[in-house]
Amino acid sequence: MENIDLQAFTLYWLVIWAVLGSAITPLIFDHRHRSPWQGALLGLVIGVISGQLFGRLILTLLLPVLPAAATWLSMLGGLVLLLPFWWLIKPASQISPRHNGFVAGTITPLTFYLLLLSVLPLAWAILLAFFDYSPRRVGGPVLGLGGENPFVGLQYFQTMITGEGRDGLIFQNSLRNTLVFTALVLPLNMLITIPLAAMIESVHRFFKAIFRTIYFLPVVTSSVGVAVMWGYIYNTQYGLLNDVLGNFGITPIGWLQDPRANILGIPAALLAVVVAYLWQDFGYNLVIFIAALQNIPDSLKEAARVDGASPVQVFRYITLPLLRPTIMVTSILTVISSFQVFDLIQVMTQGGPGRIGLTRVLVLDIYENAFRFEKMGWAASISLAMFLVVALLTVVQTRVLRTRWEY
Amino acid sequence: MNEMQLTTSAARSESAVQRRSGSGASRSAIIYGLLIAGCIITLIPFIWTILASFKTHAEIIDPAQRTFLPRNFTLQNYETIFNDPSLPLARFYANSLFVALSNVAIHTFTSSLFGYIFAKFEFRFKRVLFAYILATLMIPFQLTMIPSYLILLEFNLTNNLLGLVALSWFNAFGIFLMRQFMQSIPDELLDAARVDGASEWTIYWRIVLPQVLPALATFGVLVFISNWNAYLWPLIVLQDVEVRTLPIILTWYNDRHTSDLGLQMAASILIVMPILVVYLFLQRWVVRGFTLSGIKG
Repeated sequence: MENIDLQAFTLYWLVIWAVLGSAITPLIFDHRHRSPWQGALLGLVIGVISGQLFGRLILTLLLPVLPAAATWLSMLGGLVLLLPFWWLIKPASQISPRHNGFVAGTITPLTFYLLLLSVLPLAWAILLAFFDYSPRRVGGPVLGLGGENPFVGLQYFQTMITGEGRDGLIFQNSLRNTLVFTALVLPLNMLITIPLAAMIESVHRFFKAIFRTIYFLPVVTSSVGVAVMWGYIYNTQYGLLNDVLGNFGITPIGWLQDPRANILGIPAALLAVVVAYLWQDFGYNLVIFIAALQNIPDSLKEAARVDGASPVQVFRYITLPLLRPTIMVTSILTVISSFQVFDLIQVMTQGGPGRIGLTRVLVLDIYENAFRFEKMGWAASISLAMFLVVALLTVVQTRVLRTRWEY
Repeated sequence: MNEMQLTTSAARSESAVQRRSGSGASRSAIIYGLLIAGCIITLIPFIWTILASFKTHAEIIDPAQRTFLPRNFTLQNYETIFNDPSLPLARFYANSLFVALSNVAIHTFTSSLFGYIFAKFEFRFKRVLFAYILATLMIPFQLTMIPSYLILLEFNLTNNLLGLVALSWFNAFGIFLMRQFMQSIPDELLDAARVDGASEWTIYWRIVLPQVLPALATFGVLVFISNWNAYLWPLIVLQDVEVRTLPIILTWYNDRHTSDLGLQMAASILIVMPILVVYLFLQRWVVRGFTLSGIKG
């Protein structure tokens, strides 16, 4: 038994028989003129019980005899009770109109999944934010909360607001960095992508496809790859950037290492990460803007041109206002994704340089607290705060950029 | 057809503007110049990395020898990587491929199935359920990441590639996207099949699925790319080296060869290139998928 991973099998049995039980039973119930929803629930319960019970039984009994087949056969545990159940269920005495077993048989597993693996984690995440939780400690009976993982109330949120202690200080620094990062990325991204999309839209169709293909390359590149490539470009001694700057007589700059290097008060490391992020990400908004520009009726632009508007005026007074709904969507998406920046920073700077971490962002803070220091309650409360900030920013952007007209 | 009309009318008005201002040619030269400059900026990091992967160590570190193109073209970096017994690359490709393809299979199946159900069937609590699915799109992954990890821990599925597959059965965005496409399937088509006695699963499989196959393929490519490039979640779940996926292997490998930049660049080329090649072949679909995700999501 030792080399068999019973916990993982528990999950496999659960998943397989919850799905099969609640998917097949409604079809049979439907066939016998019974309520498929009732069938789905019964099938779910019987399937899960039978899968766990007989799966375990089969595994324990057969493992000494047939070690190879035992694991696979244990997956059939659910059938032990389900087959007789399917067999024995009687057709309803009065013939009712046929319902839809198909819907019951698919929606029930979906609901089961949503409750178990979406609602539960969400509720759990919110609960964790109020507990001093570490998976290594023995906690209370419900989700390991309580016991050695005590309830701390609003203490974490207090720490965040006051910035007390090392944790609070690092959190406020991470939040500030994330906000600065986002505040730099959003306008720069829009300033690059909107004119670029308009320019691409104006060239010949053949070149348009080529430009779009090239500009989109970084988006599909793994962000770790991007981080490695840009880390090399920024390398103090061997990097391309310092080589190029050296030609103009500028002494090498420790882009990612030097905590004192800055441009206009913004740390050089943060700017370096912003540039790498923009490089990776701009193609995404670009293709959205290209698609949006294609949807703008040409007649509108042409009417303005006939009235004597210059191309710049057409862009400013016709195209840009019509792009407003798209600008709203892209700016919301850009803020959400730049708030979640992690890969680039974790690989390029690990949050450094400097003692408090000049590029340390919220997700890095969450990651390190949860999985390096095992302060999962604290990490969960930061992620909850991050969610609230992003939600607030989304609401604000929707309000500011909302339009009340269509074309 | 429509597009051609648009182009010709654009060309006509373009020439009208040119006649008036007389600066059309120079303006389009500026536009092409800017676009080409943008392409160069976009491509430089790739080119610089590829070139570095063919340079010798001495060439990379010695400022006197440093040039943009490799002076002494060498395959040494690649040979070192392929012959490194601690780096069974084939295994890591297989790991990444397994995770990405499993997720593609699961998500294309469930998204099309539930997209169909939410588009074409009525049942109790449908609105509540669909609203919840849409709401999950707003919830950042970082919020549920910790409990999801604890669930995997409970079932002892950390450090297991199945941990990256077992918990993700549904993709809220996929369900939403496929529902949009399913709505355009005529009900008469489905009813005709029902009258002919086809079961609902048959209708889904034989009639509905072929109708939305292009959209589903686009979505599948998107799922593949995002899983192939995923970093944070695999980093949390996979601790042992041999079960890792490519992005985590790249950082792990580079951490062990911090001083040898040529080697690092060769490793990143090996890990970045497969997806770029896939992209170049499927670029139309990839771009369309990302555009959909932006407009609808």
